[in-house]
Amino acid sequence: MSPSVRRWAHTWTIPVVVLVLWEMSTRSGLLDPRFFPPLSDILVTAVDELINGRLGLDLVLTLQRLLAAFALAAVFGVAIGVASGRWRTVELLIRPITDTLYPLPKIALLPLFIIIFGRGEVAYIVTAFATGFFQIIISTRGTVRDMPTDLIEAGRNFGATGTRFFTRLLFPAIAPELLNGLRLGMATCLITLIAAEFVGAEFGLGAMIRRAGQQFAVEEVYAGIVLTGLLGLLINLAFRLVTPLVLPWQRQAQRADGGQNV
Amino acid sequence: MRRTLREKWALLVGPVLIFLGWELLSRTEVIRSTFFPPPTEIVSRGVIVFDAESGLGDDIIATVLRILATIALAVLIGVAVGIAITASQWLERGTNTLLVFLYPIPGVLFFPFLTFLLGRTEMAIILTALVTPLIVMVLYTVAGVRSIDRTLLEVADNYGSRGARRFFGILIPGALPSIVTGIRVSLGFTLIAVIAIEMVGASNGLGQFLWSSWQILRVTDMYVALLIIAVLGLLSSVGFDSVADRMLPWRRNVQGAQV
Repeated sequence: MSPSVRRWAHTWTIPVVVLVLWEMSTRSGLLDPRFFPPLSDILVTAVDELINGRLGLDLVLTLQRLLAAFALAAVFGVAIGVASGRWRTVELLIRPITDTLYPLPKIALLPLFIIIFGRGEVAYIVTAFATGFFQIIISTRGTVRDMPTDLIEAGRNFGATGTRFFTRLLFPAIAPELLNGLRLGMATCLITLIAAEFVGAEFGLGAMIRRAGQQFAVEEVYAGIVLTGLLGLLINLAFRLVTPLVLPWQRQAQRADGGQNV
Repeated sequence: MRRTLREKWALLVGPVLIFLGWELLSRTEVIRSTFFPPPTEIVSRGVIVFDAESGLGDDIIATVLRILATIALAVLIGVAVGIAITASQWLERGTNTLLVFLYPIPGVLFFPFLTFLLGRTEMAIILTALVTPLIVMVLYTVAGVRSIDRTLLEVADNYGSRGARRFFGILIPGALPSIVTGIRVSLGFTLIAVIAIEMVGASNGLGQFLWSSWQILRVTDMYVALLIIAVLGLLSSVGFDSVADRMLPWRRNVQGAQV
């Protein structure tokens, strides 16, 4: 076996075995089908609900919220992160605020946002935004601060000052790390958004799972959880596809890494 | 020395400005004080923590106990499983694939399912909260074992270190920096999960207090609960770091593997 084939086998054998075991033990009635429906039934339910039921609408709604929250978090998070990584005064001003609010579970802010914005889209978007926002500030700040000083000095000497410093030197230098931070930021946005929908929304993927849970519709609960997992994978995949397009010079470096990042 | 001292004071400027602005705007009703009560009022309302009738003191204890139980289980099971699966490439890579799929699913989503099985019990709450921290602990433990120098492992093998001695003498200390970072990350996830579950499905706890204060529009009480949750968050991040850095002085340089 060539190393890449063996690696592939290592990666996929156990997941496939688990899926097959699940299917077999539920089909044979070894596991109570009321609580553990067969995987194939879950997939059929998911596809059926997506096409004929409300699940499609829920999914689209969740995606819209996610994109809005992430776009806001990316723009403001990167701006503030770069500013506080670059200027000491900015950092001293916002450091205590980010240190306090970053570990605060943003889901706890949902009632506050509902009071402020009413029980509409904005409250859920802002809750998800808050999670990604602080995550992105902190990762961007770290990246900017870790920029090698000789790189900065050299760039300065070659005339990268003012806005050119940012467009020509800083952003290209931090881009790979920045993208990684944005990827994590988007994943945390998704986690909080689904949780917020679960706790307080009427529609959306999270709300659907809560609803199905209250009606003991086990297959739909599973279908929702599987879809959420797929969304998470999709985010990772999207960033993996976008990175070489945005950063053509990164391709070589990434291959050298072996791409073992989670 | 002088510079760092001055910077410590400078750290106060941001929060003081925010609270002063908030206090002024709220007192002058520029922002509605029913929704944004002045900070001084929130802090003075904080005495309900000691008021047995409000039940807030008991709620804090319930939440903290749930967090501690969850994190203890996550560490015990996660470290054991994490070290066990590094014994084989099949187990390690395969489990990794499964966990990476489950990782971004918010743990709360498993609550309906676990309540089918266990009813609305304390067990269901803790098992739901356990999902994400457990995954985190396994991933960080595996990364920690991987970060141990190969030569060190081979030397240990050659000197006949096996079983419990290999486990407690080589694997655990070697993976410890990464495990500690994993515990810090897990604490954050545990706090999120416990609060979220309490908001939807517990009869006590800070999350339940927060949600019910909102529903009956006791806005000031809601802010008090938020304040306490923020303190718990600070303890689990900044507080945990200062304790961990004191106990494991070498951690600062290692910081564990990034998952």
